[in-house]
Amino acid sequence: MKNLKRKLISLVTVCAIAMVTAIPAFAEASSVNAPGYGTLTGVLQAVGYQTVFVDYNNDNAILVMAGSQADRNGNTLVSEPTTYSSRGSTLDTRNWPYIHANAYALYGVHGVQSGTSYGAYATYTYTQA
Amino acid sequence: MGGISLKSLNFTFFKKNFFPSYLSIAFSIALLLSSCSSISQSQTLSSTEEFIDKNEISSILDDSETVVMATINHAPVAPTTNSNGDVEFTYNGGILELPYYVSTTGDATNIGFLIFLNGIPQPYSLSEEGSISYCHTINTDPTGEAQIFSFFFSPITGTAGDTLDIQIASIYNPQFQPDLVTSFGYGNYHQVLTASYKLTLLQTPPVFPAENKLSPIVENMEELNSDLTPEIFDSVLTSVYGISAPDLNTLDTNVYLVVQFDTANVYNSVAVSRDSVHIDIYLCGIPNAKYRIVPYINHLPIAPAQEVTLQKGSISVIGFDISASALSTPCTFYAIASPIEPSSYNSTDLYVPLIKSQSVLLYVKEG
Repeated sequence: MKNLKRKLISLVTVCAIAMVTAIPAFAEASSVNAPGYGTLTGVLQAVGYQTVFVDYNNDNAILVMAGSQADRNGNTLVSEPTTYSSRGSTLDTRNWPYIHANAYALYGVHGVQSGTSYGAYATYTYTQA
Repeated sequence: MGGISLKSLNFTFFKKNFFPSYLSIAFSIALLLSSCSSISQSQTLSSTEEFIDKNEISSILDDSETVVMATINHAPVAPTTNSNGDVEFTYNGGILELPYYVSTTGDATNIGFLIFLNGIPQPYSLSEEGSISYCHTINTDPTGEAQIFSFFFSPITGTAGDTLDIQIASIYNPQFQPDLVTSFGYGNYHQVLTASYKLTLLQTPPVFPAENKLSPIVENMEELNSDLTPEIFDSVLTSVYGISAPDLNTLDTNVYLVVQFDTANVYNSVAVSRDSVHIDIYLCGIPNAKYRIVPYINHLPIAPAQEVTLQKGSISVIGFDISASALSTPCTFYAIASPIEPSSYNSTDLYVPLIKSQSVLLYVKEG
């Protein structure tokens, strides 16, 4: 019986750890191969949390995030300011100040640009609010 | 008894002397931690880059409800580099050919390109004898296959010995325009993506032909530097970008571009019902950064670049009118602020970006 208890405790503990470490299911991401930077990945959550990252950035490039919120008819309600990382960053994040009450679509742009040796890359996404 | 049966599991699970002492503690920890997972996730992402697990991200991509509208990649083809390994083009006189490529996926079926030399719009063609324009559109094969072409131009500025900053900005689906029936805004379309390099002039370029100069359609243009009063702060920065007074220090590290139409902030379209529409372009941010501001209609400059130097506590304003008679058909308006010698500011912590305002549809409303 003690052995069974130990197994159950282990099972529950593993489940608990898995629940904690998994990235939340509402995260929305896009990814693209970006030679010179590995993979460029952008995440835009429906709550307006936005992050962009690359595998490496020896090119002193800038990570860029832009976005906007639109209603059901496609009218832009809010235009988020474009933000730029410091040079050589491999990760940047931000939170949009608010989600508009009538927001239906969230548009996200995640890019890497203005490096000294490589090109510019970006992903453009749409997420339902 | 080799394994754990469902029956024995259920029995054990609810057995009084077991549940409170072990499982309840484990479940409590699990629930507590999982309820905080989104917070801890963002904090972890902010604090350490090592946390990112590509495999986890890949699983998100598979399950994501996000629609990836498009990807865009553009870069020079086999460029020359300087001793630092940085891309650096060389102008030897005549017409410079700059081989380039663009690859796209998704709905990025057409990509426009704008070129700036030290912040000045640079006209170019796509072949040696081709038509010269400030913007050409490349129709792309959205399978990700690279399309190779060349920019041809004689630099519009500089003399022999100069090293200029050249910025090549792509525009996502420039041919899109809301029809005000099925679409009312631009969404993600017309976003810019900038590549920045160096261009060294070994020869002084020829004087730019007069026939290729701009035919301005703006009237009563004036430039002024205004104090960043609370009223302007609210109407320009707070209402558009949500920046409040406590965030004032963001103006030391970022640059903000706002366009108002007849003093109103607009995100989608403007119906011009009077003889003209008045437009104000505001720019503020990184102190001492130098910019050239250019208004565009249908991706072509409609006025000479206006040079401004940003100052702490103030905001630069370019104001002008556009006659309704100049708007024969619905057209797309935006402004671009392009930095002058951006590499001179680009330390590790300070990036002086090329910025484009939101595209807005202008059309004449009869009656």
